[in-house]
Amino acid sequence: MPAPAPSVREMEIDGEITLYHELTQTALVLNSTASDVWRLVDGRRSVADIVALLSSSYAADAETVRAGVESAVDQLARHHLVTTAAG
Amino acid sequence: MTGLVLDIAGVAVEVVTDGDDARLRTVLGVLLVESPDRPTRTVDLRRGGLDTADVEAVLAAAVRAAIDESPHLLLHAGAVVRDGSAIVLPGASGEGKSTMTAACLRRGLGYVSDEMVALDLRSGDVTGLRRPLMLTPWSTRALGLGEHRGPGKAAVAPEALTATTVVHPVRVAHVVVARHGAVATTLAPMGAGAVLHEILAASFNHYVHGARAWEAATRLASTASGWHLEVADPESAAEAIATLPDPPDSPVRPGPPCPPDPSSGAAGPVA
Repeated sequence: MPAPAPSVREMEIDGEITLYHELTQTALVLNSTASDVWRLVDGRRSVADIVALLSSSYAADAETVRAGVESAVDQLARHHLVTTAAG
Repeated sequence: MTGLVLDIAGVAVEVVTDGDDARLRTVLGVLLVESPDRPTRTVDLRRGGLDTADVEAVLAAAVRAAIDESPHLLLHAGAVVRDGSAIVLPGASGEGKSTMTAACLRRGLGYVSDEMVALDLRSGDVTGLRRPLMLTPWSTRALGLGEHRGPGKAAVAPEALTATTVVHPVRVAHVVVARHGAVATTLAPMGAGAVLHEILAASFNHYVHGARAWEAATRLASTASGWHLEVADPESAAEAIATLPDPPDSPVRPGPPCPPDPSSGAAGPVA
């Protein structure tokens, strides 16, 4: 279950999310897809849950949505902005 | 040994030289602190081989000394003022900030800086490093200022461009990111996220202020209008900047609220 990392702060900027990791002092600006994914990352939803929720609102096939969500979660994890402990 | 104390973005920096500093005093007079308190930092030019005739290098050394001490987020950017609001021009060295700033001054805009802008972390207003504009021989020719025959760059006072220097803090209305080498000068809106990226990329000391720097940069990107400017020549670029459209409702858009006063202990920089 992806969850926001403890040291991450967020602000909304023109409909998109910007994140700041206090320990690494890294700032990221998320595009609209990544912003939607971030808003659904809460430690209780799985990637599959997030894909299902976004599929209903995106005009794209399920596989495209899945690829986008997995890519976003992967990049957020690589920047230490989400944790992906199993659960 | 002589020493000049310069005001660099709110930090008193003493520049120590080993002889005649008359040219430095003349060129950097606007930055001199008349009755200095004990300087926060010292730059000793007697070591390191810096030529005191190279004003830009001397000033760069003073700026480096001030970066870690400044209470503001320092941006590598020029800035001009139109109708009481600032237009910030972020850009690395050699990207034409000084030339574009000079061209804007000739169109009647006010001068903040051609090199460094200080963003108040709490108010979001900006002040600037009020140095003379440092123009290359190409720039002086392109701007019709005549041929610069001395070594290095020409130090041009804003008054020589009939411009007024704005010394009080100013709210930012626009952030303009310029790229040179275009066939024709064009202007296009830039999203707030891209503006934030450019502001953070242009900052000298975000690491000093941590999350507060990020918050201030985010508020700036949220409240100012962002523009991508493809530049064919400085004059047409200055025309585009001088005629930037303001948002229909107000000069600046409402943005995220300011943080609480850090003196209250509710917030502080990340170490």
